[in-house]
Amino acid sequence: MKIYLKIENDIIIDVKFETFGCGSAIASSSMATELIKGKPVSEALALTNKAVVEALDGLPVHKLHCSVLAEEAIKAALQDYYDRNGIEYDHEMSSDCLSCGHCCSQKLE
Amino acid sequence: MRIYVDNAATTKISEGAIKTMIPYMNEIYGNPSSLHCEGQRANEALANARERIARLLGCEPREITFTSGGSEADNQAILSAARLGERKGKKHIVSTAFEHHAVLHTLEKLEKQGFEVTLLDVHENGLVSAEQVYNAIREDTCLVTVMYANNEIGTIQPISEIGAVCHEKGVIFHTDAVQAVGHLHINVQEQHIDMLSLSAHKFHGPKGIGVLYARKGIPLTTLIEGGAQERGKRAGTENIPAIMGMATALEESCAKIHENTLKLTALRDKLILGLSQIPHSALNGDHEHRLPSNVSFCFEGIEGESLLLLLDDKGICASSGSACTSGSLDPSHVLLAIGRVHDVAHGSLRLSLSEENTEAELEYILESVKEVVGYLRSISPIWRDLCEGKKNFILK
Ligand SMILES: Cc1ncc(COP(=O)(O)O)c(C=O)c1O
Repeated sequence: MKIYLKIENDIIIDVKFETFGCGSAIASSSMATELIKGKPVSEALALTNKAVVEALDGLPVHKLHCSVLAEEAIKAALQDYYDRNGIEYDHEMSSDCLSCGHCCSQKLE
Repeated sequence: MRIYVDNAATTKISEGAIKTMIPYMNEIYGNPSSLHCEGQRANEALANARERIARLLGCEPREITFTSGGSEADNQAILSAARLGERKGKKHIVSTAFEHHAVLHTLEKLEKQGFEVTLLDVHENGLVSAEQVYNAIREDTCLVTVMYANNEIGTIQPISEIGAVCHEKGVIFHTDAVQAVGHLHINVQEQHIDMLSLSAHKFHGPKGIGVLYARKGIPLTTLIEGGAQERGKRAGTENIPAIMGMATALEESCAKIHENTLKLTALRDKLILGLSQIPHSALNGDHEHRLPSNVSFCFEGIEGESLLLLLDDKGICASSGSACTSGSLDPSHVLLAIGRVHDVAHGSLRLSLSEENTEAELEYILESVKEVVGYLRSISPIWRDLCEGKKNFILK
């Protein structure tokens, strides 16, 4: 999963994703981008996998990890944004992506 | 429009089989164990179905045991041979790495009971040789079990040669012929098969019914205790409608083997040729020794479940061996057994044809698969890495 963010004045004005994975992974990443589009960065950081699942009207139990990947990918992208811009942030808030080798983040220029 | 190309998973029951079954639900519905006329008529039907099926397999009626399907037949065959071997102090079994789980899980259970299992390599082409079997057989081998045709990649094993080797060495030979029966010519005598499993729903018969053929003299271990049905080897009131439907479906399928082989092989090869045009893709398993109905491909840079969902959206019912479809973290053991690495095995697609598929459907499938693979690659970070040279392509 890759998430691309376009941020202006602390507002996420555009989000894009790339996903290698099953239907649930693609749907989770797509929904996560919908949920944070137009939101301030601080709100996007509060996105939970639960919110993604609810917005999707549920996921099968064995596919719940796909929503966790989406949450983690968004957080990783925001963390990358903070790092690149030298902004201090609460490291506790960003979960490190441990569950998938394909995760990384890039800023949309 | 819906296009069904998942016939290795299950098939549509034939009109002929349905017609045969109905009277055994509402007219001749007696219990074959009952003494009254209604029961005896059902019992005659049972004997009749057993004879017809025995004729088609080249065995005797009493060598046929009706089971709930392929899984039960596999379990019973393997456990019976194991118990027989155990009594003679023989606790070694030879099989292959890409058997159906009905076989593999039964073997795992036996391993926990002190049996030793040798799983033969099936190579990149998905084929095992009689020579491999010969070399693997030991003094204490009590069973060789090798599937006739693989359910995922459709490769056909040299069953007659393997059977001959087993007989030369005096070892019982079982074959899981679930994917082969009704599609390939089978004769258990000529092919030196001691035990064979089949399942009706793979040849346009009903679900939940199958057969275990066991050569006379091989005592069966019971899995289900109860009444004395099936000569005491499988308790439970016989499913007469399903058994009758299975006999009809098998006769119909066997009568059409030649015709269907010609038709399906042409369709299959057209699909294989068309799909090979997608860059960085590969056919799984040998092309020549292959079920006429089976097309199995891997496409690099995508994942199989999303491929299936998008094809379903386009009206195409197919199947995949990707991890996401299996409910486990690993892709199909069959694809791993033929040496596909995880990343490639995830992007697998199985199309299994029936004689009802048409050229026009094929054209549509080809077009759709190309489109969907292209789309999934366009959103795949792995594909991007491959294209940007950050990772190396595995498939040409
Ligand atoms: C090769 C093989 N063996 C066994 C089975 C199990 O058959 P059944 O579904 O009748 O239990 C299947 C089908 O799923 C199969 O393809």
